[in-house]
Amino acid sequence: MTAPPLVETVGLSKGFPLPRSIAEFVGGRTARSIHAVDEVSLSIGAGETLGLIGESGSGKTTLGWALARLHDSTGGVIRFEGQEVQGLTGAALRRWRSHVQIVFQDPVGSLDPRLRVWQIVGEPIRVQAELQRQEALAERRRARRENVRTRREDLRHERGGPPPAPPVAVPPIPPRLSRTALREKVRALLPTVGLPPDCLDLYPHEFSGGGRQRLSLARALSVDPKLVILDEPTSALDVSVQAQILNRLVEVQRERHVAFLLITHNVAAVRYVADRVAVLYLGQLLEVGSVREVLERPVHPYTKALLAALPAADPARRRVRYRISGDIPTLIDPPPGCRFAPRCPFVQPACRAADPPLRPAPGAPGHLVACVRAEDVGALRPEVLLQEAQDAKAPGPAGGPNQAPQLS
Amino acid sequence: MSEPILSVEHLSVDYRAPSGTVRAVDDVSLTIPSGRVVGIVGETGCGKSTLAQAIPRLLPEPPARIAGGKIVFRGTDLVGLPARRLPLVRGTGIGMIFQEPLNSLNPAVRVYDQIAEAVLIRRWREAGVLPSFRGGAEPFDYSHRPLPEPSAVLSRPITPGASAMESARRRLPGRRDVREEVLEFLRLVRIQDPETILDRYPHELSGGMRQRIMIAMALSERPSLLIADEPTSALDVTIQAQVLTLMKELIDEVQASILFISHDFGVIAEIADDLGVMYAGRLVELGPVAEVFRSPRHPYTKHLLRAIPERYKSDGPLAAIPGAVPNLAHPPPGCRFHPRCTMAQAVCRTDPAPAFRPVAAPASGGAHSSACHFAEEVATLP
Amino acid sequence: MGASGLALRGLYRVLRANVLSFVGFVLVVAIVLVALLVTLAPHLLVPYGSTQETGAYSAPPSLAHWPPSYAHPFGTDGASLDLYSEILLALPLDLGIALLIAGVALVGGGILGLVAGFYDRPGTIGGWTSAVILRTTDVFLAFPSLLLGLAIVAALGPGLWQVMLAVLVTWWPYYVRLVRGEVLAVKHLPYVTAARAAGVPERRILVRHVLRNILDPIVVYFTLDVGTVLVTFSTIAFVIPGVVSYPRPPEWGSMLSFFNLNYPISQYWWEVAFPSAAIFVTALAFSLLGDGLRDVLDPRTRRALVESVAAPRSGTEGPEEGGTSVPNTTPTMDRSEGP
Repeated sequence: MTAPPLVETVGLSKGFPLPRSIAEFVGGRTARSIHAVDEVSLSIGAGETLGLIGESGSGKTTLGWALARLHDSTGGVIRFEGQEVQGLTGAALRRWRSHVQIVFQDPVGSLDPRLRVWQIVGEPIRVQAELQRQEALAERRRARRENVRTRREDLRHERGGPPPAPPVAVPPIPPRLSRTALREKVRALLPTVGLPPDCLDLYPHEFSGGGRQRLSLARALSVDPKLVILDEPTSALDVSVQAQILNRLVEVQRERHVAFLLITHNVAAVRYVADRVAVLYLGQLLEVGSVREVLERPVHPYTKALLAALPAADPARRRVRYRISGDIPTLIDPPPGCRFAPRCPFVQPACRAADPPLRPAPGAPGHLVACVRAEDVGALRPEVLLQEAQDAKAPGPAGGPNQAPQLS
Repeated sequence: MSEPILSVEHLSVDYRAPSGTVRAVDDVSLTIPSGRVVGIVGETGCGKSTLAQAIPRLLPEPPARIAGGKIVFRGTDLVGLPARRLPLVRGTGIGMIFQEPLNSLNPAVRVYDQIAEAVLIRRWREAGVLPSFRGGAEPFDYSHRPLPEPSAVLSRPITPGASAMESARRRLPGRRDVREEVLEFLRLVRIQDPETILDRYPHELSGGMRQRIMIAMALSERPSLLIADEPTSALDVTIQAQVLTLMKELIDEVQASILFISHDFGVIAEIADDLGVMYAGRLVELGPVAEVFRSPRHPYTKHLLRAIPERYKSDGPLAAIPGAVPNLAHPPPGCRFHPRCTMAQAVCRTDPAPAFRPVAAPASGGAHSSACHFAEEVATLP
Repeated sequence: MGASGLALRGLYRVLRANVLSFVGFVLVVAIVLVALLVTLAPHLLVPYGSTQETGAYSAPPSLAHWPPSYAHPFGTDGASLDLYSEILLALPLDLGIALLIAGVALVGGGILGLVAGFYDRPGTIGGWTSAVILRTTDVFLAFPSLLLGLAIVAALGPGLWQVMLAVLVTWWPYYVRLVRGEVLAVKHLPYVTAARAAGVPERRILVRHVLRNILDPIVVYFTLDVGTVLVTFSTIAFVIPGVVSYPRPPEWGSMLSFFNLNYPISQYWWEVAFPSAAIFVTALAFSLLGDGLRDVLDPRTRRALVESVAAPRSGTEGPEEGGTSVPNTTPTMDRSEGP
């Protein structure tokens, strides 16, 4: 990959400190924190779709919000087109927001119920136009001041002083965006998401769930962003409508060359829409690579566990028994090492010693995985985590004390 | 086997909303044979949850109302039962598992007490202390309570003496007497070291654990029929796989009949023997699960199976179904699916209730029924 | 405020459907109209003029304490003043007092509540400000409003404005709590975050997104509150004789206080009954209207209402994947709980 990525994170972390109890405060303990995202380094290229999969507590939503600068990250670097943006504030941050937009999971709560479609979808356009005007006005003020100084120097020159600098051009101020112009822009945008152009004056509650997600998408696309973060865009929708939205995403990407970060727990959607996929577990990035690589030749045991757990929608392919046990543990001040160690059937002492580094998988340079046992267990198929009836008594794969409970 | 555990006949359920009456379930008929798992699949507004809660008459009767039909459970029509007899059917007759265990478990009661309550109800019913449900023409059995002789009543002391209290306590199991049974049921749902969680509250446990406790509670009453309303929808994928594995093993061990409701075809394919598909309040297809997946006989089923990303075959865009689920307050005229159906004809627009009829005879027995005028042509759809 | 436009039609329908709220609505409208007329054109409604120039009546004392009759529908009081006119003359004042107190409490307490709710982030200036506001509110809320009001009047001395101030001081904390609670409920909703993600500055988010969406319950509370304020004010005016002098300015509470002290009211029942009835009817009217408004503006019933008003759109035609205009299923759209 020669072109620099559109978005890049290096060691991104986001922790949420927990308030200390009185005893902890008096005792001088530092506050515990929830390590929602822990040193994640990934990149998204221009115009590509990165799927971010994980279960609850994986930090995928937090990572998405951190990328959109809706959270302030507690560590690491976010680079957008080569520039570091994790420290942006104020008007510069708000200007930058035209490049990265976000679509939320909740179709009902994402849209202000008291505003009409053209106001909702047009809000980012209006805000950015306002910001541009403010900037242009500030620029003009600066230029005028410069010219006044130049004029003064000019007078001084006439009395025998040094020659002045040439006058600075006063840039034109873009006109205020009128209501009609805004409505027109929104009207032109609606067919891109599959909505009829005459629904400008409707309210969100007059739309179905799928319609509302299209509105959210239209709002996100209104300022021509380079990256749209989609946070579980189809989870709240019916299956038939999910397909519509997924198809629409593919089309929009083809037309507008916009990059998507698709955050979801639905692996099948990622398989359909995404180019690359990253797997998160408890805030750690465990595996990242192209969709075909990761989903067909998963290396990390957790990815294998996740894929084995997916029900195939085909009664002829019923799984017999799922061998991963245990629940997803807490994120509060986790112990060092791989987060999946407590449940991994292949765990070894080296796994808990230190956070496993993200390195290329054997034989596949574009496919990165954070597992110290990538060489020996990496090639195992996910089906080893399912138990067929005939080998119920056979021992599990070598290594690891976390055997699944025996059939009683 | 012999007689089905549950037979729903032409059941219709109405909701009275401020904007009018909505028919959430319209003329649904299905049977659950003993020992089979019947799965119902459908999208929002199809009425599957209403159906699940209507069967044990758990819906609040205003605003809901059973507008017609029969629910025959072990020979007794539940629609005709007076309201005060209904609790007797629930628990030991029909058990339920709900979707979100955090809402369905009492947050103020410890795990031990929640399961103990279920066990005690069953034990008291078996001992005859509480009236229980027998099924058949005489649903309620009071024969365990013999009428006392008048002379014995008159000579009994007004306040029970110490020996009477002792014998009463020994006769009835109390809260502490069922500890072994509670632990047994917790082990049944594969909870390691169940002694450690007996004193916990539901919010202290994880989602998968809570769902297992719900299953334990439901099973501890040994119901004849178990209704599971989206039991795994709120769980993460890996936890869902564990719970599904558990349920499949339990089905084999316990020989339960289950009505399993879900919106997820994958989950249904894993666990159901028969599959019913609901759309906008009507049951549009019902048959053995392998049959329905392999050759669906209703256009909605066929389109839906092609729209789910899990079955995507890398051949162009995902085949979405145009339009959206209709508003039940203003259903389309004629067949409810016809506005979105690619093979809709004139009769589909006029006939509001295409007959739900057997359209194929699967090799494994039973019937494969569909509510479509053109069920035979569905096989020719792409 | 277009959503309210749609709700206005629905408002009319619901108010018509629920008899009591319709009664309240009609009463409030009537009361307000009468108040306006009495202020602007008293000769239309007040039979004995705005100053009750009794003229020929002033001499004979025999007109004092007359029971209700055709000439004096509510009777007369000890000073031969027609009670009906007195009550009508007091109406705009009492109504105005109640609305003013409640209004100032709403605005003042509301602004504090907005700040305390929206800018409440731990560890920031906003957090400290919120904490200060909230603790002060708690202190004021700890006092029973009536007792606090009486104490303030005792400190400030008699007078209409003093009593109004007393009631106001005890009233604003409720609005702080109310508004703050509503802001907290709304400020984490996705559409607020979406506005932030679009680059909207914080103050504009507060006004445009948060404030506009919390107006409904505040309007309801305010309407219900007007009656309570009126009763509280009248009670203080009654309990402390002379704090609001009677007969000028005319005010129901002070009217009752004066009559109670100076006349043997057990004989002259109309002098107690009609002013009390006036307070009662006014407070009741606002209560009924408030209840009706709450039923209309409650999101669950409002959605069903709005649907019955908005014509259902046929979702069959549309773009190839359209059907977006199909209205929602009632009453909940959440997939986990289908009907």
